[in-house]
Amino acid sequence: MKRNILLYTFLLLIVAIGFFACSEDKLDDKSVIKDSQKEVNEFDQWILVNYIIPYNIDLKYRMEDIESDMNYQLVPARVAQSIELAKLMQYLCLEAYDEVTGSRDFIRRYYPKMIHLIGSPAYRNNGTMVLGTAEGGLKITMYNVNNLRLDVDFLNEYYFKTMHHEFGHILNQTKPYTTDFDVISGTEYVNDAWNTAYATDEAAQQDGFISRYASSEAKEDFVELLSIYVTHSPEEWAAILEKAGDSGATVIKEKFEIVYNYMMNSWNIDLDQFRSIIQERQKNISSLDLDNLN
Amino acid sequence: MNMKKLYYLLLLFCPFILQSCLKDQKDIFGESPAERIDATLKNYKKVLASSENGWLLEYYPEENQSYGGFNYVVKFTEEEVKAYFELASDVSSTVESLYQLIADDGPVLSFDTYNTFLHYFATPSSTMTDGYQGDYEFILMGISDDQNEIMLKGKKTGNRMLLKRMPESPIDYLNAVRSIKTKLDAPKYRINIGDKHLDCTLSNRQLSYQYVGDNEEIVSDQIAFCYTATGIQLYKSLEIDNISAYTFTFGDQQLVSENGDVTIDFVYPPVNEVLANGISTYLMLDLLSQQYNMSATVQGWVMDAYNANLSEWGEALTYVRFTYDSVEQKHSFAFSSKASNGTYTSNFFHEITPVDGTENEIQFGSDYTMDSNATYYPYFGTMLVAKILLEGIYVLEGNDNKKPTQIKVTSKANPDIWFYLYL
Repeated sequence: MKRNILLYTFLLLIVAIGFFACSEDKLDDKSVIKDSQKEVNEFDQWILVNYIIPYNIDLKYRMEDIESDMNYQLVPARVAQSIELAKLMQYLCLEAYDEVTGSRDFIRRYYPKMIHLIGSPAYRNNGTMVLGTAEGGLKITMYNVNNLRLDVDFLNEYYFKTMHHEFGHILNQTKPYTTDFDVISGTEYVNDAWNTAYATDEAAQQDGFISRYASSEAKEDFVELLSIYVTHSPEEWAAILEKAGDSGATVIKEKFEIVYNYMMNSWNIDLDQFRSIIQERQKNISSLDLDNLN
Repeated sequence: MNMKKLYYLLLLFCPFILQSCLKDQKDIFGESPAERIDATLKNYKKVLASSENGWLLEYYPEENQSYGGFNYVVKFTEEEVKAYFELASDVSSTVESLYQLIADDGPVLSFDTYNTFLHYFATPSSTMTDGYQGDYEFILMGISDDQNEIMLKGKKTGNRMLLKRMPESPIDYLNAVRSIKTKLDAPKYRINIGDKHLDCTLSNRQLSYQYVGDNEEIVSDQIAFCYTATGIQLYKSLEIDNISAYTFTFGDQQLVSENGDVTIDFVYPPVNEVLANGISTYLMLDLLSQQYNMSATVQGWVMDAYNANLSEWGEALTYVRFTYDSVEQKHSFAFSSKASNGTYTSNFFHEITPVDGTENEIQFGSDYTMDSNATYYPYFGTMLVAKILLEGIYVLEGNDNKKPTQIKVTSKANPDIWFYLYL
């Protein structure tokens, strides 16, 4: 027994030596992570002050291969248009959410942490183009920045509808909406055939889909309703329902009610109030200084 | 626990103790990988910014270089790149954008904000969803010892390209490139390499040729090229029968390879082929600006036709053109007659063929046919066209051996019958 104790002690000693050997190795005081070679310019500084610090969102206006979709031939965004869009997104989207929720916390907490700007549209080989994508709630990619025009309809169609649309997905992923929504149009969703199933948005609306793309699947339908509602005036929305005809409008209204209640109950956002905030801001875009960084 | 087992367990620990700090492992390199790539990038940046006139980039889009090569000149500062472009409507215009050197597939030069010139071949459109498949990210493959060349590889295409330090002003260089492009314009070309003489084409920035190989097989090849200030630069060497050529310089109506082994001759077809091939339309008579030159006999025929037209329709004959109709696949004398409500054109189709064994004689066919308009003006046919055709063989005399702009057409049998055709 005594010998056993001796042995165990010996064993412990060896283990101890094993652990402490080579203790002269020091941590390298030089980091292996190197800063990139790019210079910090005025726009980078502006992004730091207006996006990164207040919202914890990084706005990448320089194209990064590893961040972009390899399925498309893409080109980078032009700096001048990136600045314009950065200011427009701040005014028409981020600050509009601040206004309706009462603070920056909502965006800071839920909005994707990166917005990547791409100059060209992402053309599919079937003739359609991708307007924007969101990946896993972390990143929104905005295409077609080089063709930016200061026209509210254009801005909504190409950028802001996309921003609300993709953000809508993230909100849905964070707090799911009721499955009652999915059964309304149930088996009528057409998936990838959406661009052939309906020739126009109006044709889709008559079948109870707010847009052609909304006919693809229920979760797209949901965020299309959300994004189209907040980017259109009450008159425009009424006109859409009018054109949709009785049966189409009934279905759209039924679905929208779920969207409205979801935003109200899950996020405490009144979509009518949010819409009027956006409408108000849209009126002011011509007086914004979009070219100068200040 | 069994004593024996314990000893085994003890043994198990031996390797831990015995191996430990017997030697100090030294890194092969003095610095960490991150530091080394950082230093590499800094060095590239320093070299890139060191060229006062910038760098010539002979740029090849698309992985098979099927569009050929195009000249850019790029000037780098710490943050920006300024680009000149051969295809710009004004070669002195520049476009600036940002660039970045990043550690990716090795050191990479990335033009990461949009530049109308640099992204020209990469920009997609709804009809060309891949654009011209050009690169805007380049793997930096090395710097020459004299620091005058930087080797690049297109990240998408894999095409090898070079940045060459510009010894002269970018504008002068690009102007020289444009003027070379015009000088190298010839109807046909022939490569002389060893004892072979091969017909070739130099079009769409591709050198294309074929020849009969050692085993009687026909070998076809196509090599992309880029115009330079003095000639052409091939994307890869032309190699036939162990003779190779890479860079050609223009001189004395031919292109000569770097060591003189290979030449490309410009081949100009004889004047009778030029007229018969039907590529160009010539003017025989222009009564509005009084441009014509013809013998008294031919002028008499024209006056008869003119007067007949005036008395028949009250219209004035304004033009007679010598042209080729690609639908009929025949040559034509095309008459324009000016009426009060517009000008009517009538075609009289006929055939011409070069006379075998000659370079300056053509044979007119004996008959002509008319298009529907011409049936209203039959006298143009009987009073002028038929009389020209009747002479059969004509002798041609061009004012320029390469590309004649005036051709004198004289009847071989009757020297009093002649007229000029103007390009």
